[in-house]
Formats: sequence, structure tokens, C-alpha cells
Amino acid sequence: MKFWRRLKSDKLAVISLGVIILVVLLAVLGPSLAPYDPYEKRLVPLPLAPGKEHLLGTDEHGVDILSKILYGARISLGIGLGATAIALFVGLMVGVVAGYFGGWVDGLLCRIIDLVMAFPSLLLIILIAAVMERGLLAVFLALGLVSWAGIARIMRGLALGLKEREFAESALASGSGHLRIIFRHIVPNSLSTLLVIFTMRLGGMILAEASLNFLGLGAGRDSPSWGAMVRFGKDWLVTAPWVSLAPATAIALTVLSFNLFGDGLRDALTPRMRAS
Amino acid sequence: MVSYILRRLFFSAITVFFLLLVTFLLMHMAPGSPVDDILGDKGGRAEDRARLAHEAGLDRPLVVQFATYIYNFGRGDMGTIFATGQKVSEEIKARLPNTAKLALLAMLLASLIGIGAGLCASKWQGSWIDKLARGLTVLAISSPIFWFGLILIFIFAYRLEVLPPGGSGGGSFRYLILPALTLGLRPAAFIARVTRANMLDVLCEDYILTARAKGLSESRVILKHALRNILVPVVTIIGMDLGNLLGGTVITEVVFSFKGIGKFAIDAILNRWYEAIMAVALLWGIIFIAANLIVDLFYGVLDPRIRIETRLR
Repeated sequence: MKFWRRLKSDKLAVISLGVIILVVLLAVLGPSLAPYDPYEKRLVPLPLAPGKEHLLGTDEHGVDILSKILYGARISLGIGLGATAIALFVGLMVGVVAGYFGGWVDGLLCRIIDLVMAFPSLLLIILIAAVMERGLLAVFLALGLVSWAGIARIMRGLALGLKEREFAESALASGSGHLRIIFRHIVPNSLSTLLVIFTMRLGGMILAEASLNFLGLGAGRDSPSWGAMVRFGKDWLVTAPWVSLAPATAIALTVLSFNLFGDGLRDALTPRMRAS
Repeated sequence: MVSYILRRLFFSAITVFFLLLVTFLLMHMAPGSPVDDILGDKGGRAEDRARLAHEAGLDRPLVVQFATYIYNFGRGDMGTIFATGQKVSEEIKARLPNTAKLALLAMLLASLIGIGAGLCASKWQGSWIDKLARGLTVLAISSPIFWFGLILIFIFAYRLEVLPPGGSGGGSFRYLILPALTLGLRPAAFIARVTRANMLDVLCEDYILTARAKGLSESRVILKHALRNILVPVVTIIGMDLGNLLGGTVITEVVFSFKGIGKFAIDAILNRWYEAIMAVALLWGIIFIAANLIVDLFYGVLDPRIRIETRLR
């Protein structure tokens, strides 16, 4: 297949895919691989330095950083995937309905999209997170409910073009209902674009999730969430830099891999999007 | 052009109104109330609770509360933090200049680094310089702001001990360098990317060929004739990334314990200072909307072609 050949020729994309697979495996197997219990505290005078006992050292409560990071992979990936899926679903629905039906529906939905996009997204996310009880659920919903607008705009443009194509027109002529045309013809033809958007947004979403937890709007002190680990670890930057730098590097590496793989996937799957 | 400006102004005004409304309603729905903050959850005698609620104006109809809020905000009175007695407007007045300095210096550094790197990458397209620049841009776009900030603090404040690890030092330059670098990293990467792509396009244009044929020196061709043409895309990128920049100031200020608006916003949220949250959200929204408006209008000044096209429309 042309697609695989194109993807395989992109060395960076292949390496990033490897890292992504590794992170996913860690997220799935994490708890059984982790050498220690990430919630178990021990009395230590200071965070223990990385060594044979603890590969990445411990925090000030004697909790093994590596184990915490392994457990945290689930949170990062889970919230990233979930929030991206919500954003993608809402964006797809709003965009396709706007583009397909046109007229006043399109006008109204476009104004709403404009309105949401007129605000800095972090502002909206912070406002939503501020209203809800602090926790991972707030982070998850805030991220998902804010990021759909950009996706809706892309999907609207796509639907606008697709409904003029022969297959959609002939389906309409042969008496198919609008819903059937949308789900049978418009949505399936948007799948490759959706996949690219999904991969490219995922990195940003994981980053946003980590940022919110870093700011203290999500998980608490004992949570293995990577962002929260950096938040509480940064007090130890002088004496025990590993407490904050290890989880921060895990975030950076994961986000980098998703972004690079997203770029590669876009180039391989939708060569026309490359120009933009 | 005038009708275009008026239309943009009208839409901006509507956006600001919705921002007011959404902020107000969200804060109204939020769990916990200022009364709870003072008397404890559901604590205190019923009449004390009622008196405090009355003092805060919480017992009036929602529409009245909303109208009062807009009226007061318009007069520059953003309310008082109920729990501490601080005036929100005073706090913002003290912090806004710090954040503004930080953001401006960050954008300045980002533009210098970004345009410089983009120019080098396009000049030596395909060479190791180009590849290095591309690798660094991807890395910069993907790195969490706090990761880069912590590494800078670790190296420059603790290992080399040349710059302060945090605080705002009354807004003095030494305290701004590391935060501005941290904040400017992402926009620098975007600007480098756009500069490179646009330079490669522009260098193929006829007028560049003409300029070279006239015997102008290479530096003159690039700086005088080519660079002018990448200003519009660069300003566009800065404008488009503005929302991220605002978000970035929040994270940067928290990393460096910098006394700015972003740190204040987070303190306000963590302590549920509703007046402060609303004021900051509103202020941000207005700055963001106004800046977008200015960037749009700025195009007309930078590129006469856009001005004429809008007039024809």
C-alpha cells in the first residue's frame, strides 16, 4: 500500500510510533511493571537520588518516581484520548450538520463556532475547571468541551465539499434521507481527515491536561498524574531535580512523539493537507 | 475599510457581552459561596448568613446582580475579594504592568530568534543548519512550558547562579529574562517555521531576481526586499498564537512565582475568589479580543494589497 510506504519512509514518524506504542504498553501494563506501590509512603529524610534501588529516585515521601510515572501514563493517555474523542465527536457533528444543511443552520452554528474561538481556550478551560469540583473529571470535561470548535470548522468545510459530490447527490436523488447520507457518505469520507486531526490533537490535549494538573486545577498531591507530579516536585528543584524533571520529561517525550507521528500521518494520508 | 472596521467592532462588542454573561453565570453556578468561606460550609447562624449574603448582594435578583456587575466594571470597580478585603482593581493595577512587560519581552525575543532561525534555515535550505532548526522547532512546539522553564531555572539559577530562580523583583530586567525566554520559546518556533516557508516562496519571486540583477548585495536583497514580505505572515502567526501566549503567561508565572495577572488568576481559582476570577477572565477576554482586532487592522497597514481587497469587497 502506498500509504504504508509513504509512512515508513518518514524515519521520525516511525520512531515516534515506536515511542507511542511503548507509552501505550506502559499505560496498559504499568501497574504490573511498576517495582513499587506509587501510593505507599515511607519515611525518608530527603528525596532519594536515582540509583539501583530506585531507577528514577523517590520523592520527599519516599514514593518511587518510576512507579508513579508508570501509573500516571494511564491518566495522561486516558484523559488525552477521552477529551480528544469528545472534542472530535462534537466537532464532527456540529461541523457536518452546518456544512450539510447550510442556510440559517449553518449561519447560526458558524456564529457559535466564531464565538467559542474568539476566546483564548485556556481561559474557557480555567473557567470551567474553576466552577467544577477540582479533580480529573473537571480537567477531562473542560478540555473536551472547549476544543471542538476548531475541529467543527474543518469538518464544515469538508462536508460542504462532499455534499456536492456525485455519490451524495445520487443518494439524495434516489430518495435517501439526510441522516442516511450524512452517516453513510459524508462521515465515512471524512475518516482519514478525522484520523489525522485526532492524532495531531492528541499531543496538544495531553500537554493541556498536564498543564492544568501542573496549575493545580486537577489532581491532588498523591496522584500519579504527571502534571501534578511536576507541580509538587518543583519545590525540590535544587536538592532533588529528578522529582520534577523526570515526569516533565515523560510529558515532553510523549507529546513530541504524538506531534511527530501526527505530522507523518498527515503527510502520508492526506498529501494535499501538507501545503497548509 | 470603515464598514469593515465597524463590523469587526460590532462583533467584538457582542463577544465581550457574551464573555461577561458566561463568566457571570459560570461563577454563579460554582460550588461554595463567599458566605461559606467566612462562616465555614453551612456554618454560622441563619441570620448571620443572611446578613453576609445581603452585604455581598447575593440576595438580589440575578439580572440585577449582573447589571450591577457590568455597571461597576465599567467604572473600573471590580469588587473586593470577600475573604481578604483586597480590592481586585488595585491588585490588577499592580500586576498588569509585570505581565505586560513579560509578554512583550517574550514576543520580542521570539521574533528575533524566530526570524533569525527562519532566515538561516531558508538561506541554507537542506543543510545541517536547516535540519537542526527544524528539529529544534518541533522540540520547542512539543515541550511543555513548565519543562523548559524548570530546566532554565535549574541551569541558570542553580548551576550557574547568574540569574534569579523566580520572583518578579519589582519588574526589573534580570527577573524577566528567564520567564520571557520560557514564554517566547513556542512562538519563536512558530515564527521560525513561517519565516522559513515564506522566505523560500519569496526568494523565487521576480522582484528578488530583479533586485539581484541590479547588483544589490545579498544582505540588502534579503533584508530590504525579502524580509518585508514575510512581515504579514509573521504578524498573523503572532496574532493567531495570542491565546496560547495568554495561557503561557499563566504557566510561566506559576513556574517562576512571578507577580503577574496569571499567577493571580490561579490563586483566585484555587481560593475561590469569585470577584477576582471574573475580573481577570473579563480582562483577558477583552485584551484578547482587542488584540485580534488590532492584528486584523494592522494587516491593512502592512500590506496595501489587503487594504485594497477589503475596499473592493
